[in-house]
Amino acid sequence: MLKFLVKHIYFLAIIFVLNSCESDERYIDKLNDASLFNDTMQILTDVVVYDIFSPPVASRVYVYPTIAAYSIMQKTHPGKYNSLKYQLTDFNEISSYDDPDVIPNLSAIHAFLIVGKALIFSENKIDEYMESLYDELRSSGLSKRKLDKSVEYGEIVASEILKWADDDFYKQTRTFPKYTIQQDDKFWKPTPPDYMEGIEPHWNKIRPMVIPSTDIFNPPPPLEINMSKNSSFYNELMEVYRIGRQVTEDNNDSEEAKIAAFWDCNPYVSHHKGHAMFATKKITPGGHWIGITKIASEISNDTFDEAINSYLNVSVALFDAFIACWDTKWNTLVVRPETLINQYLDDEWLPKLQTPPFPEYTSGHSVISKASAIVLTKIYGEDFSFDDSTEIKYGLPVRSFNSFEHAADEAAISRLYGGIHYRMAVEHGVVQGDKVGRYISQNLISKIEDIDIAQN
Amino acid sequence: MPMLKIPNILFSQKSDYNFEMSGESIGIPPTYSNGSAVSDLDNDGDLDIVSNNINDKAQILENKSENLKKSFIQFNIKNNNGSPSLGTKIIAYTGNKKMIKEITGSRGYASSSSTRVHFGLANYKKVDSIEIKWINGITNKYYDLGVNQIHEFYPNIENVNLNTSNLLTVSEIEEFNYKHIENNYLDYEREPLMPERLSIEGPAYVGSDFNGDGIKDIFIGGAKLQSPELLIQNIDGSFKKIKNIVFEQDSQFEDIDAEAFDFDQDGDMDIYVMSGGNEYVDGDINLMDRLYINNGNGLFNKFPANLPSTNGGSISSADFNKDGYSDLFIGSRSIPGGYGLSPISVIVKSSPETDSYFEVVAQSPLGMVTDSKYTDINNDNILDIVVVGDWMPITILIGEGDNKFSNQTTMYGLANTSGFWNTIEIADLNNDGKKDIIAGNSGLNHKLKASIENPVKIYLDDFDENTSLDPIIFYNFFGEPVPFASRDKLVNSLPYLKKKFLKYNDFVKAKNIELLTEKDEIFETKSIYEMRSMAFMQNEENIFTPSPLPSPLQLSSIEDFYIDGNKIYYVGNYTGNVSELGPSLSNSGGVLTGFDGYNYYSHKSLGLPINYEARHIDKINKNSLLIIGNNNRAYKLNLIEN
Repeated sequence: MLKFLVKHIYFLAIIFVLNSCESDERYIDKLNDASLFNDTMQILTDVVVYDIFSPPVASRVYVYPTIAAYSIMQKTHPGKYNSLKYQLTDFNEISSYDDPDVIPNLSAIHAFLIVGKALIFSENKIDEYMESLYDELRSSGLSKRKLDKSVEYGEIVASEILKWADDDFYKQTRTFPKYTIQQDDKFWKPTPPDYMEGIEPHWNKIRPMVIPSTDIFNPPPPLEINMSKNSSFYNELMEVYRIGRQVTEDNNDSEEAKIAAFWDCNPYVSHHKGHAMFATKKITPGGHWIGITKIASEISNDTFDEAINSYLNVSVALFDAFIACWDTKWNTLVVRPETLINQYLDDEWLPKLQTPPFPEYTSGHSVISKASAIVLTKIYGEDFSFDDSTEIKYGLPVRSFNSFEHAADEAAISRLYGGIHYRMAVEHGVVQGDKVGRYISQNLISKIEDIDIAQN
Repeated sequence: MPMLKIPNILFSQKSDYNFEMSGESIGIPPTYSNGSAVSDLDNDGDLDIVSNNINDKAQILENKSENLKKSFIQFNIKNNNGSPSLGTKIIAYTGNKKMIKEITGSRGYASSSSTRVHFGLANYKKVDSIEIKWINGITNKYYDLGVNQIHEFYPNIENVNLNTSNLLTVSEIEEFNYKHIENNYLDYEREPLMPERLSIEGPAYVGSDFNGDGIKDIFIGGAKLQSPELLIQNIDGSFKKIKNIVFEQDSQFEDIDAEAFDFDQDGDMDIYVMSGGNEYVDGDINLMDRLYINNGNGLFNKFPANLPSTNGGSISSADFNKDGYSDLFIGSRSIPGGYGLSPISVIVKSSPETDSYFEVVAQSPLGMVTDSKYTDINNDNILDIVVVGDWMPITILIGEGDNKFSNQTTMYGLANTSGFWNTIEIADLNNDGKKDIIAGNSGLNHKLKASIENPVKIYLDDFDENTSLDPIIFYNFFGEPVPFASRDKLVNSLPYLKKKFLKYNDFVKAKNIELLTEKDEIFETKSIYEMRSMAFMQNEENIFTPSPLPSPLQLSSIEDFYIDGNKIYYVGNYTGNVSELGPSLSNSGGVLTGFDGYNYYSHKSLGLPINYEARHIDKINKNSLLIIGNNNRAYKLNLIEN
């Protein structure tokens, strides 16, 4: 009897060994699946929304973690991707890894999460994601040693990226003086309902990634304020006024209203009920284009590294575009249509969207959307049609686009429909974004084969 | 929508300006209320409360005070057409009580209360009389009204009382031809954590005979970009401005204080003007004080001396070493950009025989000085100096002769008197031969309450190491120390705190400075033990005992006193408080008669415009007092003998 059992135990043991050999591999597939990186980026987006970062600051929260992940990915595929040294301002080559137990994709995810954690406030959300992800990987066969070694390498790269990020002047601008309101009608003033302080008046001091200076792609000066009828400025003001009235009369049912709502991307919309005030949160314009990147990447069946490459290009374009746009905003200090309309035309007029708390010219959406569309077009091609479902989570429907440029153009004009921009800010903003996007697509060569494409 | 239900709060006035807070303990349940209205709904002689609640039923709270069996009286005051006479005032007199109400319904948010007037009458059995001041100007008076009932009145044009003056004024107020114009500098942009601005301290004022005709003239120093003015008084009490080019050339200075003394010993009064302001940095040329030499006729030249360039607080002069030359006390207000830190104040002797003309004999970081007075406080024939300011005690510097002074604040019993002192006067209030001190403070009508057991504290350090000072104030809020600045304001100034206090609920745990900032060795800490305006009475052992000024003087901040025989005139109000404190505007000035440090004979309001922010009061001739305000016109008070 004993002999029989021993033989069977031996047989069973072999079966167990064979089974655990098979389950040893499951984690590998997970770590090679681009959806893992997409999910990780989504967590970062969720925390950005939760912690309510303003659009320019959100772009900073996206770019550094993505750069950390890309740098590690690049070390693994040096024949396919270029290093960011000499491409991004003051970027230093990251350390390499030599331990065979380091799984670069896992290190990339880890570095992404550690850098992200340093830049956001609700650290526990990132911690929870990380813990549950690593638990899942461990129970899918990932050895402790491989996890530890990958994490260790990820931490090294994360601290190198954070050290480089620390020199971008963000820290110093935290206690710079706020903007002091100037009296003349032409100057930007805080807008209802909350009359919030102007956001990031010193954002043009942040070190850009690629563009050589913040004002190199300056748009032409805005139209001077001129309230005499038939002046160009007055006509543009009236256009905003009429569109706003029309939208209200059409009961928010018109196509213009829907487009405006779709591209609102206001991370903090405040609602007032009597004394009580509360706010609803959603993604920023940058977050919207990060979401579009995810959709494009999924449609194209990107590999893990290809997904990271896309996010890298878009997040860098967003970062520099915000710096350029904010430089223009705080230099021109153009007053928002709502302020002048309420003051001179109709004190009950309300824009369809809540006017965000920063000066008018140029339109942020116009600049950053165009810049993002250009780099996405470079990666995925023109006429890349897609269904944009990024806003479903925030109560808005899906909209379909024929190309990235189509989406960017709609994003731009949506701001006029929304009653928060003059036409000049939208049209010149698009041109400004175009220049930023083209410059980045020509000067940030991440994929090696793109050198030929860049000549265009 | 997120909900948080907490009980509304009722404040009962227990005695003059003393309120007690209650909520759940008297039956007010937790709600999320939006507006409220008050009415005696069940007609039982007490006021019931209706509250409007968000996403909830409205609520009626029935007042059960009818069980206390106190008297009441109610009035329906109506226009001839039967509608409530909104805006009409009714004054009820009973015993020695006087109660005033105005007919209005609008009180709470989007809410209207009953327009029926209600007075609680404790145990009084009747109301002796009422006056109804109708909005069209007529006044009706009625006598002996029964309690515990509702009375109804319509305008009675037959029985009219003509005395419509309601101001308890002593005199006439008339406009005086001077207007101070403050410049617009926003202190909080540079220092968001300061509790009050330091850029609206002026105007500077000194009254003296500048042209030798025996009549008091006045010098008023203006704000930045306002030229100082010299006004010569004529024998008929009118004033004439004398143009002085040097004053106009110096209009970029913000004048804080001024002192008249004969610097060059040529028999006429020269003027030392102290410059200040919170805009610059210490040592900036825009902060330099100036000395103007009189030619005897009210025409001045600037004396080319290198005077201190600090944010000036107070300048006083006297010949403390009896060498025939006026010496100075130069008290500094603050280190610009570093609210809370003590700048150096100096005692200076005048030495015309030397090249420098002035010689510093003593210096010390006394505090944020606002006022100073030379006086022989201990009657030893040597002049002493009393100095006051913010976050510092009533400070006594005893002159010991030989150009030496010693700080004897503690010996004189004044160690625990730190307050927000604005002004002092020295007088023997109780005629015991000992000089007493009367000091103006912020008053009790103020969010910050202080005592020796529960002081207001300020912690001064560069908590986030960004080379700028962060003043953090803690005060006692219903028994617990809390940070004065909100979580949002602190995070704005100290961004490293944002992750630490991610939620407002976490911020509740910040009960002391270590828990708030994670720093336990603080560069400097100061306290406030006293918010009341006070009299300090000196006894035979040269110890000062504190005695608070009467309650009408605690309604607002007091900025200046003028003592005239047995009358103490005071003026005040201050709008430079940070918005969380609210402006102090409840009392622009009054006069106390017969105050001996403890009791007084009468108090009357001066009748200055409401919301007037007064800085100086001085007697300019036998019949008039001059009141100078900040960013406003000046007023003259003509004294009528009564």
